[in-house]
Amino acid sequence: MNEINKNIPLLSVNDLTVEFPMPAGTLRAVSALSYDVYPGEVMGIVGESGSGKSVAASSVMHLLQKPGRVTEGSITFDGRDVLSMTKKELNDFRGKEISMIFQDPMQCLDPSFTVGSQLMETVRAHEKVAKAEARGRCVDVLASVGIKDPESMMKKYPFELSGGMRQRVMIAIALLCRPKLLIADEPTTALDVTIQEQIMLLLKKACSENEMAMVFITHNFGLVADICDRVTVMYGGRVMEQGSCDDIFYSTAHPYTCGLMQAIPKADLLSEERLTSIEGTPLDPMAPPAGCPFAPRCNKAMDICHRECPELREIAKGHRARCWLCEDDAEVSIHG
Amino acid sequence: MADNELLRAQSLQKYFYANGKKNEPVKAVDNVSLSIAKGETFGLVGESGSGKTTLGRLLLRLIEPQKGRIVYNGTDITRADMRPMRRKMQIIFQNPSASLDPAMRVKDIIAEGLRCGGRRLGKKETEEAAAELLESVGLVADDMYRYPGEFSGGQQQRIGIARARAADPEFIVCDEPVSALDVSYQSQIVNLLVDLKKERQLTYLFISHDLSVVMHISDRVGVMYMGRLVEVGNREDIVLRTAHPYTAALLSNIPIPDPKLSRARVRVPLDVDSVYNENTEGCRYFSRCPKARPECKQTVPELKEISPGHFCACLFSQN
Repeated sequence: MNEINKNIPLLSVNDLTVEFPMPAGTLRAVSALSYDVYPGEVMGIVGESGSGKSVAASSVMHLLQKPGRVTEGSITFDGRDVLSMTKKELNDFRGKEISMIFQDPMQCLDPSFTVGSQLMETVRAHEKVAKAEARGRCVDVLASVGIKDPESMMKKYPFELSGGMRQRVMIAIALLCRPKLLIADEPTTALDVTIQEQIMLLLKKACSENEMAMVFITHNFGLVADICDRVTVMYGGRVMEQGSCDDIFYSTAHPYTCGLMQAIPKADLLSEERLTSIEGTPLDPMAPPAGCPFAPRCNKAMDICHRECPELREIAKGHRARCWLCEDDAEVSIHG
Repeated sequence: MADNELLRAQSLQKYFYANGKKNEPVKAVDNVSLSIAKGETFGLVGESGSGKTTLGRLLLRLIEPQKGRIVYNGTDITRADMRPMRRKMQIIFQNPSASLDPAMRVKDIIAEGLRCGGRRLGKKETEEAAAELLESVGLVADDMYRYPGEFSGGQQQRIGIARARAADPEFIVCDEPVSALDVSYQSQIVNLLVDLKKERQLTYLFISHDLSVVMHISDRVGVMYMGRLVEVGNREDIVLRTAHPYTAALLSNIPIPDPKLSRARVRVPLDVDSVYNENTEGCRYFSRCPKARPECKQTVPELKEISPGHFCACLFSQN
């Protein structure tokens, strides 16, 4: 394996814009999204449904559903341009260099094949290994994701498994070829608290043992605090705030991030404090507001917010926010 | 508890026979007793399959119990005609898009609730009442002419709440009302439920697998595991004087939205792999319990009062 240089980003997404041409007009799901993921690092992407977080992740894997397409920007992985890869290159690349796990493992596992055959398929698609050796690898991986009897698991069909077990199998498939990056799209949303904790432990272990980086998509700040090194908060297809986990939690800059944090019950379970909610309704992606996408729901919105969308600006080292309140000349902007 | 008790369940049982009567039944609710006081919010937590939704539906007799008794406001309703009771007891479902008829306008959905409440209203009066209900849940009157599919998830849940409220009930079962919603809409709905309760002196049974939300909204909490209640108590009992090992494990596994606290925390591991055997005579948590002893395998722990109002079903409860 090549020497890993921790200072060069493994994945670099630059000004990514994804559009879906629709009969009623163009839907811009992601606009000018940029982020870097360094080797071994966990990048959290937080946002609500419709914020573009899943679309952004599937474009990294070149898995955009039609009619969606990348209209601008670039995605570089380990020095290679993902968007210009041929079909064959992509087949090699997916599953081997980057793997992805999804929210609903039942939809991703083929119901008519055994767990074993789905694992074997993955190994043999990427590496020329004998059947027996491939089988051994599959059993080892199943054991490493905490499945107690991997031999009998190989013979089972997905419907025989519980949700937590299916997600473990998905993770096993994703880890088979020791990818450098794992994209986890809300991997625990469909699971119970107790099983969620197990899956999180498993992901942490996989990251540290294989020096794997991860893009962790979620809307749960509890999980962000648990696993992420850096965080990107998205709303309406745009990055609202980006920074280290501590920046996001302890020097929150954007009103949207702030609102999300206040909307969840406190760590102190007996707190009598009323939850502060972000009022308003989700953004209509077909008719985005002229200014900042969050302005209609923002309790700090000013005139300019409705007219003009602010730039993503660096407010401290490595900490960026897109808000007029973070501009140095905010006073001038309000009155001017 | 007896003087202002609104609802009491005694030894409720519901087994589901998955593959005919020959096989072992799934013991969804097994000998569960609970009592809910007027004006309180009783939270029910547990993982999926623990029987919390089944229990909620049994209390409303949306499914019929095989054994046990349900007493509402002093009257035994276990065998009674539920029609007149429906207006007093309502439910809000987990998935708003599945529980609202997509072919009915919001107005008609709410009108059904109004009829259920026994109110006979003309067309104009119905619309007035619907407008008032929609406004009380934070929507606008004109929304009544639209169809459920035109609303977002959070708004649909508001319609579900307006429908439940239309019958002017005293008691509402909230079955995972916020689980399907995004965080920023969850708090809107939680706050709305809190406000409506204050305004109308409602009583809630609040079912969720999210312990932090349940703790936020409830006065008393019941923890369910595999069809049985394992711990019941007020919020402080559950959080500060946790008695059952399962409750302790649940509490220690709630994700904390604070990186420093999250890193510092000690978690009780929950072994999910250990297969639970339905035929086990004793405690159902036995196979996962870090404190299990041989006795646990033989004896079914009864739900015992370990301090006033605090119940626990464990042979070796910590208090």
